Amino acid sequence: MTPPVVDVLPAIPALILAVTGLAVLLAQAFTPRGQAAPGAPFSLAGLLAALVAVYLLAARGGGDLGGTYVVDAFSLYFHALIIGVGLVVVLLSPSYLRATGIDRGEYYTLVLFSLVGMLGLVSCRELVSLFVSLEVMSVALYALAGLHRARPESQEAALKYFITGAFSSGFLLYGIALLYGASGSTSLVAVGAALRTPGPATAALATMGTGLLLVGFGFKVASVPFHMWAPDVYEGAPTTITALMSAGVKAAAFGALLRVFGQALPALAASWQPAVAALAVVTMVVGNLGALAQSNLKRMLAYSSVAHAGYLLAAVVAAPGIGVEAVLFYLVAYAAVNLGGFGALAALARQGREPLSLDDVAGLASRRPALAAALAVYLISLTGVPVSAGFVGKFFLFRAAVNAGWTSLAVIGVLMSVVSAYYYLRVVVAMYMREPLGEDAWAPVPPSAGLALGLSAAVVLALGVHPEPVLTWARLAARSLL
Amino acid sequence: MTLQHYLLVSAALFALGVLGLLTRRNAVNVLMGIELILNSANLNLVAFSRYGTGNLEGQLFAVFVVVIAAAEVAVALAIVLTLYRLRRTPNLDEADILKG
Amino acid sequence: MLPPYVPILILGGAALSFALITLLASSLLGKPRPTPAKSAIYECGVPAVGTARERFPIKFYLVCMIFILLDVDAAFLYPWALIFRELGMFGFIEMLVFVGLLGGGFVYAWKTGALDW
Repeated sequence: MTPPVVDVLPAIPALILAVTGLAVLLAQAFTPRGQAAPGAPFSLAGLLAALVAVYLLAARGGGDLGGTYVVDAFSLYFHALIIGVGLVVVLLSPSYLRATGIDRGEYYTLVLFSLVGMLGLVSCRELVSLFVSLEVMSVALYALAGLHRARPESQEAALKYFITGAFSSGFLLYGIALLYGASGSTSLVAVGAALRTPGPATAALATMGTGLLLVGFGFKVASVPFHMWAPDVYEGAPTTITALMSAGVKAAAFGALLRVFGQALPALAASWQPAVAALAVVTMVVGNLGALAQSNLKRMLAYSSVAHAGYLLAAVVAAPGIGVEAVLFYLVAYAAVNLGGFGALAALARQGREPLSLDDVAGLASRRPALAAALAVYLISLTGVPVSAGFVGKFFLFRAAVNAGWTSLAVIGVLMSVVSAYYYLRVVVAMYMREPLGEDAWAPVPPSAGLALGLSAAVVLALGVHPEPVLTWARLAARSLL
Repeated sequence: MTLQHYLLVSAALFALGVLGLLTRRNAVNVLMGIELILNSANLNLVAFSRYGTGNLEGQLFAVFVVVIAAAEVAVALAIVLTLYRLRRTPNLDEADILKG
Repeated sequence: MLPPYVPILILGGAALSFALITLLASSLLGKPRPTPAKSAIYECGVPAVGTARERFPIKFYLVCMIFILLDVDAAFLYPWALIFRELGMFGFIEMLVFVGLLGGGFVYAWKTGALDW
């Protein structure tokens, strides 16, 4: 037997992040007790190096690590998005960690490890490595959600996240096992080929497996009825981690969903499309109605994240074709908006407290004009008002649904967007129309967080005014999936 | 012993795991339920590999799953312990600060 | 001519039956009459501080989990060792990376005092 020829270059970005994470971990181990290792500069350097590696990989035309870990246009697109999310989260973190008293090097290690998992999730063309990537991401996030060891809320969030996460991983794994039994392979392409000519027994196994996969992914992207963990976890976790979950995990999970359903299960589209459409409808409705009832801003954004999973699923129904590129484009817009929204709350944190209610942000425009303006931009984009990334993104999502013959999905999506205006704009009204209550209790916006928030706002506006470059790239990425 | 026998046992284990997860109050019992689910999938993978597909991918997958399950439980126990230190209870239904 | 191992078997049987017969005889012939002096700790034994079904201090959990994690990861070494020659240099370097990552975690656990008691 000859040694396998393996091209390791595609794994370089993920390796850089993993090694950086390990370096931060060891730096923390060799730092005297009670002090924090300089995790943020390390992580920023690692993330920038990984971004350069992604650029070089793109210039080289991607690569293929033994058929399991593939860097094509699709995963390059997600690489850039996920590393970008990582950069913003790391920029937001130092001031938040100091304000809440959890400034430890391990935080950055876990963030970097979870990013490694996300990179794997969007690049794996094989079910074993896909599952391993998913767990690398999830296990790091379980620990991150519970990082605030003195706050019962944080521990409760971690426990709930772990139980639902492990539950969904179990479903996903069982589904993978059934697909393996039906097709005799774990490679997505081979599974897809085998399912095109199924026997009666394998068809039953494959349909069951697909259903279980859908439940597993449903949990990960927080779609109704598998969403009940999201509000609690988003509220209890440290806010910068909530930002990472809502932007990064959702992007990576949708990336894996598109790849698995697009490459391995197109033959079963007739059976999973109606199910995904049903999920999309209930997710849009329940997510938006749930958000209406919230007074806590973090919970409101959590329900909004559930609702957005619904909009995205509406376009997944229309995949492959125009649906995939719409989802890819919207994930960028959505990531920028959520990083900004949760980031703005995190940037104001002082002495373990952060603004959580409408009263807390009342009159913010007079005290923190720049931050209030940025937050207003994010909320307007979440609503989907023109000249914001959210409008362009939703337009493409719903157009994809209409073109694929699912007009009813688009109609429900538009109606629900109108409903959502009420709870998003309520915050804007509180910031601009109301007088501030009491003393100014919030921190001045730290420079690095300001940079991160400005970056997110710039992306939101740029995508709203001039979406073509990203759209072209998304189209290229979508094509590489076929 | 045929493939069907293994699949039936695996399905039973999976059902027991889900049942344990949904009905148990004690966090440690819930962790056991999760282990049952993961191992039922493992049994499936190995059985398919031995009787169905004729390749070793399934058995290889099972080794990975065992390792991942160990990592998951390590993190989960740490979370349960910190929660126990704060609240003095291992019961899940008493973890109810976050709701609405 | 006996096979060479039979004497050892006979010796083992004799030793076992001696132990069993002694135990049996003492329980048949004698009656247990415990007195405080008889139940006291023998010679240099330490007085018992509780039952053996004690709850263990939580720090053992940490050592135990670290052991399990490293031990389970060793599962990957066996298949790797089996085809080490076929994999060549690539397999060697890949295993170095894997063990290096694990080793980094181990050093972290060690330095932060997770293994102390």
